[in-house]
Amino acid sequence: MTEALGQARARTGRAQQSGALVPAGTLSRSNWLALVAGLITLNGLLGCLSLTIGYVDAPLGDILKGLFGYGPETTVTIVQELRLPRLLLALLIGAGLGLSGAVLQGLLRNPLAEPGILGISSSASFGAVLAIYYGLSATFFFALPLAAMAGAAVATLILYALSANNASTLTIILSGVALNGLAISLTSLAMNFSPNPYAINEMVFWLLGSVKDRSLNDVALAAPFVLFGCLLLLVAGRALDALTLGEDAAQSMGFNLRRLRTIAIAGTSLAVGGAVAVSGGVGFVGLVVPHLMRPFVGHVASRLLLPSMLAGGALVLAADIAARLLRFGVEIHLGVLTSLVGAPFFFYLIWTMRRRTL
Amino acid sequence: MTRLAAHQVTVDIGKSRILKDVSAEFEAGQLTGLIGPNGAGKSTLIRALCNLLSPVSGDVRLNDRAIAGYRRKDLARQISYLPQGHVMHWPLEVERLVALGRLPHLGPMQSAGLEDQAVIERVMGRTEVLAFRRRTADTLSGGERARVMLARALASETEVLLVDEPVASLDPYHQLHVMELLKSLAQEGRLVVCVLHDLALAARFCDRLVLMGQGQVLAQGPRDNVLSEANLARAFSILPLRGEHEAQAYILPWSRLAARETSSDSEG
Repeated sequence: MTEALGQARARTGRAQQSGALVPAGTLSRSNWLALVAGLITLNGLLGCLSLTIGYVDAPLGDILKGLFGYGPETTVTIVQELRLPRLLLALLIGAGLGLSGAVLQGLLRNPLAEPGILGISSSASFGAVLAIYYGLSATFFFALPLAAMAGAAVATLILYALSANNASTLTIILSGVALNGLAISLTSLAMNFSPNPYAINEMVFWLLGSVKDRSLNDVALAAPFVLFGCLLLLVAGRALDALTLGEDAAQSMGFNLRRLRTIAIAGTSLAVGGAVAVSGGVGFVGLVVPHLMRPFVGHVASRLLLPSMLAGGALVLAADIAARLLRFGVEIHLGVLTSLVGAPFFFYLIWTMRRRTL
Repeated sequence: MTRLAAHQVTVDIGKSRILKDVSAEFEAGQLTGLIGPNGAGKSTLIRALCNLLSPVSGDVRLNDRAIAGYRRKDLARQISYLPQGHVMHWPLEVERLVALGRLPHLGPMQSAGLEDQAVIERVMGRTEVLAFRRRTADTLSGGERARVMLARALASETEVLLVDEPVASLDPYHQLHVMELLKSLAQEGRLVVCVLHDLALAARFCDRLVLMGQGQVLAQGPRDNVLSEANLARAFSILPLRGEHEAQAYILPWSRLAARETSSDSEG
């Protein structure tokens, strides 16, 4: 018996020793602030770069002056009416999608959760398509984002209802796949039946997403919803921390899970719906960004949210810059690029999850 | 002196009645074991004790005040609950996991301060997890994980600790370690309630026992009274082996009495 105890202790000791060899990254508050500051700077630099890229070359000085309405008229028009809306939309969409992805992964406790994969973006697209092609968007300004949000909200509610009954990761993802397929086919069907002769071409926009040829009107249309959605999602951090330990533990620590779900669903619907209404469904941003940020924040949900929002903006902005730089005769759609990067990453996550022991 | 009591609590889950008129009392300074066969309603009772389930009738009272009337955060500062299974959804560092236990004490925008850090250090020392404080949850063994989760629950510094099957799937060394910890917490004056399947551990460590069967309390009181032949036969359909070691009585499940209808309810 003594020998057995000795072996058990030795086993524990060995485990402790091996653990000491693998120190996990820690993150103090100052390091976290440095990360946030770094991401803000990155967004600033990418923003400057984004303004300088286009069919017309102009010196950076002229572009910056043009931004504030000074300098050659052509440059002012190009910067203010073409490049600035594109830059702002890329930031908005990326921020909304990155943050939504982080919150959905925390809420569903599922590393594969993401608005695109789960069919939330395509459901929002379906709502937007219905609003546009059947005249609702002409009735009042905010009909389009509201319809997209309604689509996103329905999808999020369905997924949450499934996950609340302790559905496995696989069930949730498969439900997302089914929801995605349904939303895409309904979108296509709605466009087939629409009287618009260009409907098939525009279908590509709704299914793949782009921020090309958008105006400041589009920014005004999306910004209030995306920003308000982001604000709602940012307050969910603490409760998501507690949810790391499961629903019962989180509730026993004083967190109101019904309130958290409402905030997460409303925030995601606002952010994704607002983004999709002007950009179509840009995929995989919400999947990739939180995973890129997690090692920096030690997997702590409350510390993941703001960096995911900022990194989401930077990623979509970088992808939009790349889409403009990589010209193969025609400009590549933003959503095509994000999917080309995101889909292999999705494969990688599935591969690593197979070996995960948690 | 902290008191927790269930008064004629009846709980339905879906259309099934899981608890029927359950009354039980728990006092500070004692380690109370909740025992009973699978599907007896032990986990349901412990969840009702921390207001995770609302009874259809009856109530749970903490210091003679209904827990349904407490604000969530206030209740969380008085009762900590450790669910079974040691759930951790993300591979957080051990220290960060333990720090989650301070959440009931922090405001919405407030970060953990020096005092919180001192508590975290203390409970990590107590549960002997300091040596692997920088490791992530996915690298822990079952015994390490159990102690980390216990440290998380202790970090809330509550007077009441409700623990659901803390030693399930642990080897004997770690079972004894966790039970010793719970016992010492009770000896310091806390109210500790622990769901157990192991009758030997219940007899060895618990001061009081509540024996449940088919959603009802079959017996409660000092452990030796509860672990009578008649009660064990009634609740578990078993005959125990009894003995004495170092002036303490021990008990082992020894033989089955007869085939009985087993409940397939996995709720425990």
